[in-house]
Amino acid sequence: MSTNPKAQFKAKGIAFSWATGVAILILAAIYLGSGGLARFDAPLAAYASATIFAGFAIAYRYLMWIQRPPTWRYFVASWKLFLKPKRLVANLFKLVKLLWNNIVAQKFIERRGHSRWIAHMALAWGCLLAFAITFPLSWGWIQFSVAANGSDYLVEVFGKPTISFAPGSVIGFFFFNGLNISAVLVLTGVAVAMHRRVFNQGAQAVQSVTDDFIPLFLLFAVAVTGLMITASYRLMGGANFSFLSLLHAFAVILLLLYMPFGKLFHVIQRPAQLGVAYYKEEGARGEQALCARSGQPYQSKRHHDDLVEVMKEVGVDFGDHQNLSPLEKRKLIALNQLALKDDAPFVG
Amino acid sequence: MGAKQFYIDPSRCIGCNACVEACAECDTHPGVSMIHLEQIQRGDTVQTTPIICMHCDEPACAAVCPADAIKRTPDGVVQSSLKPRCIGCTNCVYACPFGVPKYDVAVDQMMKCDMCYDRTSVGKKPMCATVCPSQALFFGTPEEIAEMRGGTPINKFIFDGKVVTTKVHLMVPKGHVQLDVKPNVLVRKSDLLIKSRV
Repeated sequence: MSTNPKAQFKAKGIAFSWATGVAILILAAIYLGSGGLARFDAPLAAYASATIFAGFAIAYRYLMWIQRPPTWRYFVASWKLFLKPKRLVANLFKLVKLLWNNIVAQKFIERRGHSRWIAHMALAWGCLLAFAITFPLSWGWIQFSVAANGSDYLVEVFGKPTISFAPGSVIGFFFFNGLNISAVLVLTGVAVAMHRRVFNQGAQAVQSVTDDFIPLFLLFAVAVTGLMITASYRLMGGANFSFLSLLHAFAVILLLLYMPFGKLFHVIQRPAQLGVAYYKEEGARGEQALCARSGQPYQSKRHHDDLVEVMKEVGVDFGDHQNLSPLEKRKLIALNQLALKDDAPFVG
Repeated sequence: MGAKQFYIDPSRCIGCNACVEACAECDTHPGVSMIHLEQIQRGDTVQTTPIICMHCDEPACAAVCPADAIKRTPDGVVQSSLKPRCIGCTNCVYACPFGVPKYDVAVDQMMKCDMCYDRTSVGKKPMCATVCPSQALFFGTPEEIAEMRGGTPINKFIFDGKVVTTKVHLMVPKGHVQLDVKPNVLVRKSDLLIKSRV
C-alpha cells in the first residue's frame, strides 16, 4: 500500500474482499456447524452477530496492515523462509519452541517485569479461555443434553455426542465455572495492570485513555457483568437475571466491536514476531553487510537490501548513507559539526 | 520567551558519562540508558559525542516499521515502540539516519530516547540535560541559547540529498543553516588533530 490514491483504493478493495470472505466463512461455519441452525442457540444470536462483524473488521484491518510496504516484505519473506522444503522440519521444531516461548509462556514480557507478566498472562489466558468456551457455544457448535442414564450431562460437538459427566463431578465443576474462572483471571490482570497505570510515573507519561484505559475498562465490564450473572442465579435467587444477561451481552458485544480497532488488535499482529525470528535466523546465516566507513559487519546483507527497497517505497531514501552502520552514523554528526567550524576554536 | 527546546553540541562533550547514567533514571525506561556516548576516533582524538533521538518531523523509523509501532506525539516527540506491537525486526535501528534506536534482545523490543517524556511533557528538563556539566546537552528557550552561545542552532540535516528536519537542534558555527552529513568529511588518521591545530 502506498500513498498513491489509486494504489490505496486497490489495497482497500483487496482488504474488503478478504474481509467479506472471512465474514461469509464464519456465517457458513455457523450454519454448517449448527446443523443448518437446528442447534443454534437463539438467545446467543447477538453474540454470534458481533463475532461476524468482528471477523470482518479484523480481517479488513489485518489486510490493510500487511499491505504496508515494510509489513508486506516481511510477510512474504518470512513465509517463504518458513516453507523452504529443505528447512521445513527444522522450522516446525523451531515453531514449537517459538510458540511456547513467545505466545504460551510470553517470556519476553516476563523479562520486562514480573507484575507486568502476571497481569498479561492472566489477561491473555483469561480472554482466550473465555473465547474458547463462548465462540463454539454462540455458533451452535457445542451444546449440552442429557446422557443415557438420565442424570449426567452430555457434551455434543457438531451434534455428535462426546463426553458425559455427573453434575457434581470435578469435570462438571470446571465445565460450569469455566467462564467464572476466566473472569477471575481477567479481573486479576486488570487489577495489576490498572495499579501500574495509576501509580507508575513512566506509564502515566505515555498512556492515553483511548489506547490504554478503554481496553481495561471493557475487559473489566465483561468480567464483572459475567460474574454478576453467576451471582444472580447462585446467591440472589435469579434476581435481575434477564437484565444482567442483557448487560453482559452489551459489554461483550462492545468488546468484540472494539477488538479490531484498538490495542487488543495486537493479539492478531503478534504472530508476525515469529515470522521475523525466521528472517533473522536466515540473515545471520547469510552474508553480512559491511559498513562503508568502518568496514565492519553490522547487519545481514538480506536485511540491508530489503530495507533499502522498503525505504525507497516509503519515500525515505538516504542513498549511500544507508551503507553505514548505526555507530558510524552517530559519529558522523559530531565529525560533520567539527568540519563546519573550520578555523574557529570552538562551535560556541 | 519561546518554548523550551533541546540543543546538542557534540563539540562541548567531555565524555564524562553523566548523561548515560542519568538517562537510566528516566521513568519511562527505568534502569535502561537510551543515550549513546560515542568516541569519535579513538586513535586521533579524545572527542566524544552524546547522541540522543533528534525527534524527526517525519521519522524514518516510524515509516519503515512493519508493525506500525512507532508514534509521534502531537508535540513532536517520537516515542519508543509500542510494546504490544513491536515485533523486534530492527528496521528502525538501521533506517534511522542518526543511528539512534536501540534493540533490546531480552525483551525483543526497540526502545529509544523519548526526550524523558515524563519530564519534558510537564516542562521539566530531560535527565541528561540536567546533569551535563558542559551543557553539550542543553534544554532551554531559544532566547537563552542565543544569549549564551556564539553558534547557531539548526534542525535541518541532509543525508545523501534527503532533507530531514528535527525537533532537537544541533549547534553549528554562525552562518550555517543546515548540516550536510558527509561520510568522508574527516576520516583518515590524524585528520581531526590536523584540522583543529591549523
